[in-house]
Amino acid sequence: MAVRFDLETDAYTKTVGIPGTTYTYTFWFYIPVYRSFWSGIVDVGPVSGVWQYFGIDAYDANIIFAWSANPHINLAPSALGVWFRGAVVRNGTALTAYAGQVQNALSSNTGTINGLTPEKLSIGRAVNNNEWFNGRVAAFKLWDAAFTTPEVENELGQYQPRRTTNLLAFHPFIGTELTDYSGGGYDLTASSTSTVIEDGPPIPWRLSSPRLIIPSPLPSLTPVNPSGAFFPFFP
Amino acid sequence: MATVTQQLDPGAAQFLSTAFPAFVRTGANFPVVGLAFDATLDEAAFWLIRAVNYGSGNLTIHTDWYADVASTGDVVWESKLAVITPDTDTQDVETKALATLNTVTDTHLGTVGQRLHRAIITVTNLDALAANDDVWVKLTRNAVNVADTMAGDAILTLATVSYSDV
Repeated sequence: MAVRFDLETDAYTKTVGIPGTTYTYTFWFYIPVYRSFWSGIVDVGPVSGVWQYFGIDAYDANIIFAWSANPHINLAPSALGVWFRGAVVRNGTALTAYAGQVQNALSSNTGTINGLTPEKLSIGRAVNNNEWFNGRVAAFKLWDAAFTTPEVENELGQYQPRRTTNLLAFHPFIGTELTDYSGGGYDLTASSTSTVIEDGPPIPWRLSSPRLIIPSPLPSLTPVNPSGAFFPFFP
Repeated sequence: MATVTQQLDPGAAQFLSTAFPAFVRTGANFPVVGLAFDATLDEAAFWLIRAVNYGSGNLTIHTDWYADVASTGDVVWESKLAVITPDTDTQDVETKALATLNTVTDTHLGTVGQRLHRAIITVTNLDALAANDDVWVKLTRNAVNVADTMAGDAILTLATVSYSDV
């Protein structure tokens, strides 16, 4: 399942459990309809004046990463009605952002962003402007570590975090809940309007093999104790 | 002679990029997780198993499910296999076709809408299955079938594949 944002006042935010200038976040998103403006899907940025968000440029239908004092970097063409993977890796001022459709390879682009320390996480809207997202978000995960591309790909393959070290937030969004399942207790806060749950991305909850059960012959049921009395066998 | 069973965890299912069931989690006192199969579109989930100790005979797929909203009607479950013998079959694994389907129609037993049901599919179309073959199992709610009359989602909580080792 996934949470559906469709108003500026739908965004989920928090100011606890926010990383420093080194972080990685991964998530899935789905665009049912374009807005006539840019849309901020996820923003991990300062609380005032500037922005650092992953979003959509509806003017040319590109998936972008935008930050203050820079136009933006293009990541991949967007499309309506399909699921996309998204990820951002920041290490100081060095930023790499990723995007790709479910069946395609991830595209990426890099930039040098301002060195401001994040203070707030906003999902469904940019922190500092009214560029909100009309679409679905699922399987959001955040770490205070900079991941390699294979690590990013790995995390986008399932809802559950595969790496739990440095995990700061896990919001699967398979229900109408704000709970942080990272174990840190950094819950989100809803804005003034309510969201709904819609169908999620084509990924498993976790990658694991089916469990195999092969019956084997039972051991003897009549072991003898030292006193010579018989007793039932309990394995 | 023994029966070998392999559990197909809904949380570990794989999907194509379209027509897949939604992963859901509900439950008042313990988490009930499952895959919600739509009532109007055919949606499918996939698992890969190895047919460890397979002897002979049909496979049996037990499908445990409950209705999201309905308390009457029938659900048509369908399964297909794609079997490959590693090192022997030259078939391209990425273009391998699935064998002919097998189905079962399970009727909602009423009284309580979200009661648990078990549908049993006997898989006779085995795609030349032999011991230790790799087997892709496709499980679909055949929602467009006229025999599938249940409204709302059918939520799969667990499936198993079992077979004889002789």
